[in-house]
Amino acid sequence: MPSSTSSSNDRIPLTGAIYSLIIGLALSLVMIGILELRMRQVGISPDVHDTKELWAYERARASALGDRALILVGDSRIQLDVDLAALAAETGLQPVQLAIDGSHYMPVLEDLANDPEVTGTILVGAETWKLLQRKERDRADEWVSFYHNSFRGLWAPAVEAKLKGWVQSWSALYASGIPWQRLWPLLLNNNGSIQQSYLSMRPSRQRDADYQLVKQPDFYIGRVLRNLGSNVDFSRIHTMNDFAGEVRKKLQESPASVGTDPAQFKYANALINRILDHQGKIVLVRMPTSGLIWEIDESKAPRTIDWDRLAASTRARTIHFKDYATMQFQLPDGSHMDIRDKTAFTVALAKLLMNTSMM
Amino acid sequence: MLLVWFSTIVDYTVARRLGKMQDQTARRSLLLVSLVINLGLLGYFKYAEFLLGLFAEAVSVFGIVYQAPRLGIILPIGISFYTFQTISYTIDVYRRCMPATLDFWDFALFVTFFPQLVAGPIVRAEHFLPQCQTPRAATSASFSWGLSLMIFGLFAKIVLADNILAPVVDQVYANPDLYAWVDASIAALAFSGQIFFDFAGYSLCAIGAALCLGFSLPDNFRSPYAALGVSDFWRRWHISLSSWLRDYLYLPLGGSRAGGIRTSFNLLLTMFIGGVWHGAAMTFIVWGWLHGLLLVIEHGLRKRFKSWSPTPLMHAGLVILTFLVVTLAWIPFRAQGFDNLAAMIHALARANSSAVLAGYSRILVLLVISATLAWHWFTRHSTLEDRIGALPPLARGSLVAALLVAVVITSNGDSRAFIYFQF
Repeated sequence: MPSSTSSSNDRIPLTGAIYSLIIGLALSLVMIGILELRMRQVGISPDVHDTKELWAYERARASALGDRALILVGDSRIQLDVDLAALAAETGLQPVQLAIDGSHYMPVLEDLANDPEVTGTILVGAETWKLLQRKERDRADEWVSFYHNSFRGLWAPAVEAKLKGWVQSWSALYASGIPWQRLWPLLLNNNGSIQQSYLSMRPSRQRDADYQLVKQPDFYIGRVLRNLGSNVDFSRIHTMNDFAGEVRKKLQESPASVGTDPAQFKYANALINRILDHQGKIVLVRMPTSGLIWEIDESKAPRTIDWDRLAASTRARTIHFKDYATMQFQLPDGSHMDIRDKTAFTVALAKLLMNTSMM
Repeated sequence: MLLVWFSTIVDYTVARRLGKMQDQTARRSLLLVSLVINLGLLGYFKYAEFLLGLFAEAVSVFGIVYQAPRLGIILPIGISFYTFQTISYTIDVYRRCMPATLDFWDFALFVTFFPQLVAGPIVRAEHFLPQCQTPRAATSASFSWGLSLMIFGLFAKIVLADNILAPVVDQVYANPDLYAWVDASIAALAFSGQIFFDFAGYSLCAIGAALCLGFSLPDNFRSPYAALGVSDFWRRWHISLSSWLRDYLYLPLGGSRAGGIRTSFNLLLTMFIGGVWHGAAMTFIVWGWLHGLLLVIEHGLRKRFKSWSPTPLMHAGLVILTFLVVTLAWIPFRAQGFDNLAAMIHALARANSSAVLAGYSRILVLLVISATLAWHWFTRHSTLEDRIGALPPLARGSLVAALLVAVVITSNGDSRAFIYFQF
């Protein structure tokens, strides 16, 4: 134990503390470099984790940027379909990605509406059924609460979130999330590349989908069945046309939609009005779908008795992708853009926003 | 923040006055004021809800229904640690063991020094304040060694505590009814390792961070699992707390000078306070009393077998016995309430189970615990600096590299807070 006479030198090994640290750091850099190369060799790529910390960082930007912010709210579609760099270049604004994959985004919209510092343009990748109600205990709720209770106004979590995202974006070793018990067998015994994920994320929370990495048409069929909400009899299906026929048959058998009562948009419209009242702008965008996914959408919520009623009832500007030729894309899974199409789609969307003075 | 500043101002002012005053009654009153304020704040923030709950349970025995209010008190960061630091300073000045510092900012730095504010070590003013009297310069050697210590600490915390030991502990303690004695024992051993590597890891990080700034903090652990007996364990475990309890509670109560019964009472009371210090839960009190009881038994045995000198083999056996006893005593410390404690005790006596731990988890825990015991045995009379300093720079560098790479590989999952942050 060191004496109470308080020299810090009594804690230090007699010789070479600095040399051993330099040797240690140099050796560890070499070892980490080798591991990183090996991980990439077996097909593990750097990827940013979509966490509440990173979301909160962007949420703070949404307030801080004021009217220079172009805030994206929604779910996986707007997160996968929009190229933030292209959007910034076309609009001159600073995109802020607040979409949350697989979530009900009403808590986010509610949070933005309640923040008078949010005076930028909000672009909502809107699906009407998600605007009808506020689902409690959604992941969006948790992330909004985290922002207000554990993040807002604190610089340390902001630095940590950004630093983590940055390291994850270039280090497969740090970003892979593979438990160490499984990492060694993977690195030592791998006989070929592992299947790379088709999804990746950037520190800006932009997600990219590379559909060349998925097995088609299985992936598409899976997506269609998920949106259909029921299975089909595959014993009678031999071609994609057969599959489409089975899906259409199921849709015809399901009860016809009665549409949405505009009164059901009351709460969403109250939030929209609040945003407009504190000098914000808001545009509701029906993001593209294609093929059988569009047919399912139209069957479950026909545009004329659903989206159009929303458009007629709200003060927000609205864009439906079907109304614009430049927004028509053949989507590999029927629901999201491939990385190769997203810039073209983003440019088309941005031009539309600019040319129609929606921003 | 406000609390720590309030505490700082109160103890700075009280100590200044204590230093000047001669009248013993007035000095005692002033000391009492400081103790009441410091312990009052600690008591309110840490124990108010617990005591109200106890009161509600106690009156319910007499048929009185009292619903304790939920106060929603948030435990201020580091309150247990800085309160003990400021109390020790005021008592030292009262006893005239050290002069009151005249420099408020030195004292404020002593109380709020960030590396150890959150989870210790509990630094004594006599150790820290003299360091403030000369400008502290971090030399390349102190900075390098400080960083090395932080890497050792991170390895202990992230790799050993969080990634190897904690998953086993969490799995078994989450549902002890599913496990038999083998896995319950492994979980108990794993927690012995987890709490050591978690807390010793934090202490190393704190010492290392302080060293990077040119300050020296005292060791908080000295090979505790090589202890020969429970009293030796407490000379090696959380040294800054155990020595605080010894100097400011046990010895003023009379220590071991006042006969067997009084000594036993002193030991039990001291360890009770030690248990309560860790948190407002009955399981901590049980843990504290268990250690008090073990100390009383050991005290009696030492008196009875005063002239007995063990052979080296017996010595090693007693060290292992001490470790096993301490491991059993950790069970109430880790248990989430008495039901969980009872379930763990039942699991330790159960022959058959419906669930088992993975084979590699068992092997890893046993390997880590065996290596820890061996390391503690071989370093029981030396410091980390002695051991590491004996290695050539290349070997030291290789060790640092291996530990750092292990930290990087295992740090990509979710992060756990240090256990002692909650105290």
